[in-house]
Amino acid sequence: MPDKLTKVDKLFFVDDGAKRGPMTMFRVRFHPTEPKMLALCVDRRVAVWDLNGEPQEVKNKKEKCVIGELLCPHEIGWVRGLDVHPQGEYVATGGSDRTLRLWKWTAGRPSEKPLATAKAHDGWVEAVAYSPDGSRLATAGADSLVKIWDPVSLKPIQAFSGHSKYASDLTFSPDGKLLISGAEDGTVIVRDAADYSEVRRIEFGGANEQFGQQPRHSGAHRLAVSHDNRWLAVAGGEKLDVYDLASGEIVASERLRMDVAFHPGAQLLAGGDNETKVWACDVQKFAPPEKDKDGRSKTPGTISGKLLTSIKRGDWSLGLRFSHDGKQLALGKADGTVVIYDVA
Amino acid sequence: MKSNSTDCLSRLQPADGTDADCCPSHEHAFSRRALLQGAVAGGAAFGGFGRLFAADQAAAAKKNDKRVILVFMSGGPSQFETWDPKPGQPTGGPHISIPTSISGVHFDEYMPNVARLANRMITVRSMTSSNGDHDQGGYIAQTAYNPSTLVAPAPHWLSICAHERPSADSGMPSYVMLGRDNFGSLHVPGAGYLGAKYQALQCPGGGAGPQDLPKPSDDEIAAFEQREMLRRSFSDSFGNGRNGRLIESHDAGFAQVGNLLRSGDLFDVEQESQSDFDRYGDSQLGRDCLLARRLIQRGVPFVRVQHQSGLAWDKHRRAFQSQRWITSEFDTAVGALIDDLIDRGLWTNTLLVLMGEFGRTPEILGQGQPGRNHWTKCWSLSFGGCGLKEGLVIGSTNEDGTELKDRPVTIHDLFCTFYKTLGINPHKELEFENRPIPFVEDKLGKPLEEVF
Repeated sequence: MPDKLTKVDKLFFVDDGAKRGPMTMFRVRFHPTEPKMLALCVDRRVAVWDLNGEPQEVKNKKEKCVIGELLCPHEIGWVRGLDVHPQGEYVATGGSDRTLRLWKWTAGRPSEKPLATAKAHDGWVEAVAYSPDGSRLATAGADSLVKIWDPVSLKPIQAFSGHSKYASDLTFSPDGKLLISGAEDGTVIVRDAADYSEVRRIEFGGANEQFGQQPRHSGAHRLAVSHDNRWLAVAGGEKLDVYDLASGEIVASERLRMDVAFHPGAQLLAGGDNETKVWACDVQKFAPPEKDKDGRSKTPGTISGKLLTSIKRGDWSLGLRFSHDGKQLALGKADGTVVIYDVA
Repeated sequence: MKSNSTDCLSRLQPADGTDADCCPSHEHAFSRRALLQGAVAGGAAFGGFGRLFAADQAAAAKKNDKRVILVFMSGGPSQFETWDPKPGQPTGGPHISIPTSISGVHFDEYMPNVARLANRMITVRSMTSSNGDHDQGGYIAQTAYNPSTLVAPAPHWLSICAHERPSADSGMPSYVMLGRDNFGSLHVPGAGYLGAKYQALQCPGGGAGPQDLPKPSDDEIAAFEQREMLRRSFSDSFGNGRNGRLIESHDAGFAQVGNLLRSGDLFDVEQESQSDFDRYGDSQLGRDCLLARRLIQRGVPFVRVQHQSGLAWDKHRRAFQSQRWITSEFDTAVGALIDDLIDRGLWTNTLLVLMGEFGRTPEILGQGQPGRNHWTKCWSLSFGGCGLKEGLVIGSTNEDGTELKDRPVTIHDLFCTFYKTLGINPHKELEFENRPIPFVEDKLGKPLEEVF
């Protein structure tokens, strides 16, 4: 079990020169076979970095930075969903322009033009996820729907309703047997990835009407499943909950917000936006809360195990992902940068 | 706190410049600055003009067939995410645009109903102002006066309307405010120097009528009249030798309670059909817009609807996802309201105004990104009805929304336009403390002649 995180002395930065504010990050992904990192930010394109790139001087930055390129262009809106094919051959992007686009990965970068484009949802395409074997591509949309696509032609295969408000995120379990989606209505739906039947519905909660000046995010925002397919972590506007996927019961809860990631080979869990904590989880102690004398569940316990680090990365910092070999953790920030930690 | 200061202020400030004699002298130890600061706040009001103009008002009421509904989008709505989207530009944000019923004109994707009805409205994309403070900007956008230059506490423009064009039915309130804003003392201006009689009748929001109003019945009315007779006898003897206008202002409040009791089911929005509730949307704004329609239809001339409290449109942080909710809620409620005003034959004499206090920056910076900060250089709003031309888009901004391109429109121009629409001279003066006070500050601004 890894137990140490060390900040890499290299900062990754992107800017479009348009002087309209920093390129705040939303999602980050490592390329599975090449030393490349991709991120979604407040732009119609995807930021792509060479992890071995040379840092350069950047105006108004104290540190030298590896400068990213902005690729995979949608014409309007922002790219909201991103995933890289498990063998690294394609990049799929979904945008607020309602389209799903497929980009061929060639010579260390995505193609200039998309291989295919599909009008995917009647609303923002909020999340894109490949199945672990790369045979299917799933999207979640602001039209509350989850859709399955042919990963090469982008022909639609199936669509599912079930959420009542904007679907925010989705993920396959690492064994490819489950497809899980979360939405701003506070529901998390677990589907059998073979026939897409609903296996379980988890009421994560936290749904609100986004009332007032600074509402917390409504419902479920990000999802992650542990490498052994046992645990589902859900992050929302006010909390991060861990569930037993087999039973749907909550087994731990923390007051961390918005973002979550599991390590691909160990029980390492990272979560939180402005404050990101990383635990080496003692999953043997994950258990549903006790019942009181009236049979009602008590407050769930916090995440058991060793807290490895707590990283302050600034308000509204999103994008959290372990590399495929588990040796690095990338954290996006609101100021247009991504920091990387070595995991050992 | 507010009601205490209101009482004290109304007793302290005689309209004719003589000393008030309703309260002990030590209570007069207020500076003029403090007086003005208190009096401009929502809910506060001076003794005002009372019935000095009663005959004029009666004549005005007879000819009043104009209505106003102001939906105030508190916090500063983003022009980029409402009436002036810039999709594809770096400043454009994630929201995309949709076509409207006006060829070549697009609105935000979360405003399908407002877009459908664009050809019935006037859209101004070239509003320009200079005060980016919520409190002061809100005050200016609802009074046409800069609070730092006040010589008299300026009334809300709907209080002026209530003064100039009171309800033709004396039993009907002239001005009703639906919903509250819990932000700042200036953000929802009161009746100012006009006095308590022209203060809005406050309703808490969410479709609810005035608080603590008993269910109307013959018994309640009889009991009220009995109590009122007793109170009146005390009031008359108390008023002997004191400032009559202030006493009348006080009495006006009780008279209004009586009128409300006699108004029956005026505020009972539950009598509207379920399909109407569905069309207006399951939100406080939806219920308030439905109640606004009911009030207008029943003869209340001026209604201000507050869209959420607490500067809900003030999207500095985490803006764009939550923006979808508030814009959708706004679109559903306002779209149904416009549809109904048209369908029920109310459109030609009702001025509907949809606006906040300013706009938001092209930069997506915010305070904890991503979001937009306050921006007064070029912003948008919409109004329509009341016999104005339809389907106009006034002014424009440049490609990325950073500059005003043509036809600048000031707040003063806007108020001149609104007053002219209602048949009110925008530069009319009323005297306060022997000073002539025009409705629009320094008689600035000109009506947008292209809308008439």
